[in-house]
Amino acid sequence: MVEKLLSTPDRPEAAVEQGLVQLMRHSGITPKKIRFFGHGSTVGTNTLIERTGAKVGLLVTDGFEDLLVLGRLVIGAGSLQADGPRALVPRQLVRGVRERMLADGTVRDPLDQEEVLTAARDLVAAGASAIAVCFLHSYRHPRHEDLAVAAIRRGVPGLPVWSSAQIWPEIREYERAVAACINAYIGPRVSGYYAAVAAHLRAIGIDGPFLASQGNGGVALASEASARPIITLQSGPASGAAAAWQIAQSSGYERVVAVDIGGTSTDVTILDGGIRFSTEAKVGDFPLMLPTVDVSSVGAGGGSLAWIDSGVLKVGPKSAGAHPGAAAYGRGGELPTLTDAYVVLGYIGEGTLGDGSVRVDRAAAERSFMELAKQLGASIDEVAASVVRVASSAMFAEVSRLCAAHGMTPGELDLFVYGGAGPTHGFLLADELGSRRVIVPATPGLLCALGCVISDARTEFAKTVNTRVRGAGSSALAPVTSAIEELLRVANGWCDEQGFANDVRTFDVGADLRYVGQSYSLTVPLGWPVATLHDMTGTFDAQHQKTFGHADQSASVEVVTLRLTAHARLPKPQLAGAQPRASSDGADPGSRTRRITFEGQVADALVVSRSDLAPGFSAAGPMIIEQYDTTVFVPRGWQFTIDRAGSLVGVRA
Amino acid sequence: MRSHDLVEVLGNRFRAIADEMALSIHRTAFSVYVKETRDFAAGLCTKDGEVFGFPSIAPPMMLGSDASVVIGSMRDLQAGDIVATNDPVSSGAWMTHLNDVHLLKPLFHRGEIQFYLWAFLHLSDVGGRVPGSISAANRSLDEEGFRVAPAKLYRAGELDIATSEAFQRESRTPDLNRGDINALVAALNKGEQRSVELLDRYGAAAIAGGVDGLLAYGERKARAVIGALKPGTYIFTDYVEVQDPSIPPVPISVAATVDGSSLSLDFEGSGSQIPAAYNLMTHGRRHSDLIYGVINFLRSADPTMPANAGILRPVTVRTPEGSILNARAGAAIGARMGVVVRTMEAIYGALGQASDVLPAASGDRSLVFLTAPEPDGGTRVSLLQPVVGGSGARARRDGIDGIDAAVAWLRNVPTEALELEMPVLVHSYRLAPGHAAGEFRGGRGTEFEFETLVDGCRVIARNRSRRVFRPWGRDGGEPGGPSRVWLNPGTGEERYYEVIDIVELRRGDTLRFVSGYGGAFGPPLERDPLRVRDDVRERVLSAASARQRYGVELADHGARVDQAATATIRAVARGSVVASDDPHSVGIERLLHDVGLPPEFTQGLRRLVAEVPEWRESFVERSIRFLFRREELVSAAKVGDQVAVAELLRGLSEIRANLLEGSGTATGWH
Repeated sequence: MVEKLLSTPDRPEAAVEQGLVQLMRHSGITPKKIRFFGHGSTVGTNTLIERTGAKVGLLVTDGFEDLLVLGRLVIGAGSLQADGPRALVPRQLVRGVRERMLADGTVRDPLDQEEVLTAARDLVAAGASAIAVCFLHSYRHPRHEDLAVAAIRRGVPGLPVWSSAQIWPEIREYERAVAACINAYIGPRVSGYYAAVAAHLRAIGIDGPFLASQGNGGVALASEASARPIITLQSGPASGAAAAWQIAQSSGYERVVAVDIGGTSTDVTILDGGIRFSTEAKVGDFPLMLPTVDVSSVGAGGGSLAWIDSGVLKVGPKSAGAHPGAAAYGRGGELPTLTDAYVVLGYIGEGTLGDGSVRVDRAAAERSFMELAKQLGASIDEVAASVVRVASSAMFAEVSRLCAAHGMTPGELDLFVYGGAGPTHGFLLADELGSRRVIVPATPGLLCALGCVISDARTEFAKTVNTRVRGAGSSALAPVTSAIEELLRVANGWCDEQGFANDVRTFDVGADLRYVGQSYSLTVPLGWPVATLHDMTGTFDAQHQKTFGHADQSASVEVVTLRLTAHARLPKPQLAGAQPRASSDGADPGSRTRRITFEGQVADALVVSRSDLAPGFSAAGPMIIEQYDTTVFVPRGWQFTIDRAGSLVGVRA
Repeated sequence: MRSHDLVEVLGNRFRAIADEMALSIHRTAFSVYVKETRDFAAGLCTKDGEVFGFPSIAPPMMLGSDASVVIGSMRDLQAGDIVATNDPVSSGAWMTHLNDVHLLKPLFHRGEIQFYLWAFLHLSDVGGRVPGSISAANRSLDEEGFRVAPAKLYRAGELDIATSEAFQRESRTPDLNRGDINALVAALNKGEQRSVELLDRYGAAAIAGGVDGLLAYGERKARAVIGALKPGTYIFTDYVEVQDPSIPPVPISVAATVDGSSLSLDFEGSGSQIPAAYNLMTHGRRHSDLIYGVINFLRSADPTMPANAGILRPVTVRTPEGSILNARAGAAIGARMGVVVRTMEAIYGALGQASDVLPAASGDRSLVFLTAPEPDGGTRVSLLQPVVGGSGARARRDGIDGIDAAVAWLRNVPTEALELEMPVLVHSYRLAPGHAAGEFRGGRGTEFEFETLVDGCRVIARNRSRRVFRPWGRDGGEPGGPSRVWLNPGTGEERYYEVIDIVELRRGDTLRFVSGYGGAFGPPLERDPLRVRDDVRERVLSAASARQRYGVELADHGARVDQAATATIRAVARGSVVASDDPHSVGIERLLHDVGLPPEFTQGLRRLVAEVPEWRESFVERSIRFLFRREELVSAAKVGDQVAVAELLRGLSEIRANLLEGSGTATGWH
C-alpha cells in the first residue's frame, strides 16, 4: 500500500498524521495491526541547511576559540568571490576554557569546574539555549569533557549540554566539535518533532516500536534519534541506498552502481558486496564525521534547465525544481527541462501520471524548446535528443569519477536506477556507462520510504587507539584486544538499553590501519577474537594492494581507530514485489503504442502498465512501462524480464 | 551526435577521462606532495599542446601546461611510447622546477596520433644539495638535482631501463620515485584506453571537431570577459621578499593592456634574476606560472568558464630576458612558488583597476616543518601546519578570515593528530588580532604557537614573503599586515625573527607564527555601521576601535549603532581625510623603500613609523604621499640638496604633530 503526500513544512508532523489517516482508510488496516512504525525525516537536515536551529554556546580548549572558523582551511571552488562557510556557532558564543589534556592522557592544566560554570552561565546570558563542549584529545581521554558536562548539569539544571566525545569519539577536533555543535543545534527541533509524532501514534493506538532512519542506512529507536539527532542527517539518500542494496542483493546482484535521478539532482552510490560508508561526508557546509552511507551528488535531474551558453548547449545546474517545474506540467514553468525532453521524445506520455499529481502536456513541452531550436537551427526533436545526451554525459562523468576514486570502471558494475527520473533515463545512461544489466525496482519512487521499513537497527562505536601492530613486538595485540572488548561491552550495554534481545544482535569489528608515517588509513574488517597480529596486518596489506595498487609487507603498521558496528535484526515485511492485476506469464499486456524518437529514428513503442507485468514476463525494447509514480523507458537493443522480487531486469539483446 | 551537443557531451567525456587519470594518481602515488598538497595533475592536450581535458579535482593553474616544445622535439613517436622529463631547459619550461616530472603519451588511433595524454607529479627527491632538493638558499640550477631531458621511458610499450634509472640513480628516494612514476604511467595507460573507446565510438573526425569546438568555446567565453573591461593599460608593481637578507626585495612589475577582447601582460621593469632559488624559468613563453592570476580572474568573473586552454588564447605575455620571471638557464628555481603567487597578485593589482572581481592582496603564509629526533636515533620530518594568511577583501565582500584563497586546496593538520605524531604541545591555533579596516575589511591572519617537548628539534619555515612590505589594500582600504615569528614570546628570552630559515629548538622553547592579514577594500568610514557592530560582537575589534577606525559609535553595550553620533563623527572625519588618487594603499614601509631619499629623511620617517598606532597607519601613509607630491622638492632631496631635505623633514614633523594630536581621540580623521 502506498500513499504519497506533499510535505507540510510549517508543521511537518501534519503530513504524517494525514498520511496515516489515508493509509488506514484505503487499506482497512487498523492501528492495532501495525507492528512497528518506520519513519524517515528531513527535519534535522532542513534545520541545519536553513539555519533555523537553537542558539548554541561552545566551550573549547583555551587557545583554540576559532576552530569553527578555521575548519580544515580548504574552501574549494577556486573562485575569488567564494567565502568560507559561516560557523554554526558565532564567535561571541564560543569560550576558551583553561584546561589541557595531552595526547597520552597526562593532565597538563587541570580543569576548573567553577570556570566552566561561569563560562556556561555567561553563554546562557548571551542567549545560548544549548551547550556543546569540545576539548583536545577527548576522543581518548574524555575526563575533562565529562567534568565540564557534569558541572554544567549541576549548575544549570535543564540546559541541554553535549560533549564531543559523547557524540563521536574520534580524533580530529574540528570535525568532532562540529558534530557536537550540530547535535546541539538541531537537537531541540528534532526531538520536539519526534515527540509530536510519537504522541500522535500513541493517541491513535499504534503501540509498536517507533523507528527512525539514519544516515548510516539503518534505523534506530526514535528515542535514540531524539537523544542523538545528528544520526538522522543524510538519512534520505542513505535509506534509499540501503533499500537499493536489499533489493539488488535479493535479486542476486551484488556489484551495482545505484543511481537516484530526482528532480534537481542525481545521487550515486556504489554497492560492491555491501553498502559503502564514509567518515568524510558533508551536510551543507559541514563535515559529518559519523559513518554515513557514501553517496555523491551531481546537479542534474529531471528539472534541470536546458540553455545555451556562448553557442554551447548546457543542462543545469539551474533547475526548475518542483515550482514552477517542467513546462509540460503546466504549473507555471515555461523553460525547457530534461523532463520536457523526455515528453517531446515520447518517453513520458501525455495525460495524468500514475499518482495523479500532474497532467503532462506535450504541446507545452514542445513549445518550451522552440527558442533553443531556433538558436541552434535544429528541430525540436533534435534539440530534445541533444538535451538527453548532454544530461547523460554529465551523469556519466559523475558515475565515472566515483568509480575511478575506488579504482573501478562503470562498465564492470550493474546499473540500479530509481527516483522519479531514474527509470526513464536508466537505459540511456546504461548505454553511456557500458553497463551490461539495468535493474529497475518495483517501486522506484519509494525507495527511501521502503528503506525505513526493511532496514535493521544499526549503530557504530569507535575508539581511537593509535598503537603499532607491526614492527612493535608481539605484546602489541593486548591493547587492541582490550579496546575491542571495551567496545563490545559498550555495544552490549547499548543493546540492553534499547531493548534488543541477545539473539537479534550481531557485531562487526573493524580497524583503521595505516603504514607508519602515512596520513590516511584504510578500514579493514577484523575477525573476533583477533587471532594474530599477522592476520590483521596481512589483511591490511592485501586491502592496500587492492585499493592503492601497492603494499609494503615490511613496513611498520599501526591501528589508528577500532570500529564496531552493532546490528539488531528487526521484524520486517515480506516484499510483495509486483502485484499482477489480471495476467499470467507471457500474456499479452496490451497493444497501446506511442510514437517515440530514439537515436534520430522515429518508432512506435508498446506502452504497458507495470502492474500488468507479472514475474517472469519478458519482452524486448522499445517499450514504455508506466507505473504509479514514474515511467520506465526500455529502448531497442534491450531485453527485459520481471524477476521474482518484482524488479525489472534488462540485459542487452 | 549532432554538432549542437558535441561540444558539451565530449567536454564531459574528456573531463571524465582526466578525472579518472588524476584519481588514479591520487590513489596510487606514494609522495606526500600528491596526497597532502595536490601537487599533481593529468589531462589531454592537442598536437599544439593546448589542454582540452582537465580534471575537476586539480588546482586550475595547470590548465596552461604547455607540452608543445616536447611534442615538437619528439618526431619519431610510436604507439606505446611514453616520454618523460623533468628538465625545464630542454622542454620549453614545461615544468618550472626539477621535482616536477612530466610524462607524455601520444594517443594513436588507426595509426595516426590524434592527441596526447600527459601527467605530472612532484617527486620527493631529485638529488642536489639538500634532501627534498628544494632550498631557497640554492644559488644555481646545478645545486638543485639531476635533469633528464625529454626521453622515451617506454618504447612501444617496453620500459627503457636507462631512462627509468635516470630518475632514480641520484635520488635519495629512488623507490618512491619509481613508484610515483609508475602511478603516472598507469594513469596514462588508463587515459589511453578510455580515449580509444571514445574514438571508436564517435570517430576521429567527430572527436577532432569536439576538441576544436571546446577550445573555441573557451576562447569565446574568455574574450567575452576581457571585452567587457574598459580598454587601457593598467600598471602595478609588487615585491618578492626573499630569505637572504643581502638580496633586496625584487620588484614584479606588470603593465596589463586590455585591447578589445585581448589582454597583454608586459613584465618590463621586473627585477633581475637572483642567486637564490626564486627564479622562474619561462623561456619568454606565455607560461602558466605567469598567468595564474589571469586564470583565477577569468574563472571568478564567469564561474561557468570552462577548464580548457582555449580561455588563454586571448592572452599574450612579455618578460624581459634575464629577469626573475624569465631567468637564463643555470638560475636556481626550486622555491619559485612564492614568485608565482606574487606575480598572481601583481596581476590582481593591475587588472583590479579595470575589474571589480579581483581582491586586495592577501596576508602571507608560512609552511612550518619540524624535524624531531626519533627514539631509535633517526629523525622524522613533518609539516606542522600551513599557517596561512587572511585573504584580501573584495570590492563587495570582506576578505576571508584565516583562509588564503590563493592556496584554497591546502588542508591544515588537526592539532590532535599533530601532538600524537610529533613531540610538540600546541598553545594556540586561532585567528590573530589585527585586521585591515575598510568598507570591506581584510581577512584576519592566523596565530600558531607551539612548544617543543624534547631537545634537538629543528624548525624550517618556508615561503615567508611580505615580512616588511604589507599586503596592499584597495580604494582607500587599509593595507594588511606582515607575517611575523617570535621565539619564546613574553619571556626574557623573546626574540623576533625578521627572516627565518632553520631554527634549532631546545625542550620547552616556544615559537609563535603569525601569518599576515589581508588588505581592505574601500574607506573604513564607508563601512556599513551594522557590519562594524557585528565585528565588535564577534570580537574582531573593540568598541573603542569601532569609533577610532570606523567612526562608528555603539550604544546599549554594543547592541545598537548610535546613528546620530556615528553620522557626526563620520562627517567630521571625512572632512579631514587626505585624498589619494592611488588605488593601492601599499603601506608606509614600501613608500619609504620606493622613494629613495637620503638617510636623514628615512631615519626620521622610521622614528615616526615607530610611534604610529595601528589605527593611524593609513593617515601617515596618505600624509606622506601628500608630502611626496611636491615632486621638485623630492627630486632635489634625492640628489642631496640639504635645504630640500630640511623642508621634507619639516613636513614630517607636521605629520607627527597631527598624528599625536589625533591619537586616542576620534578627531583628526584621516
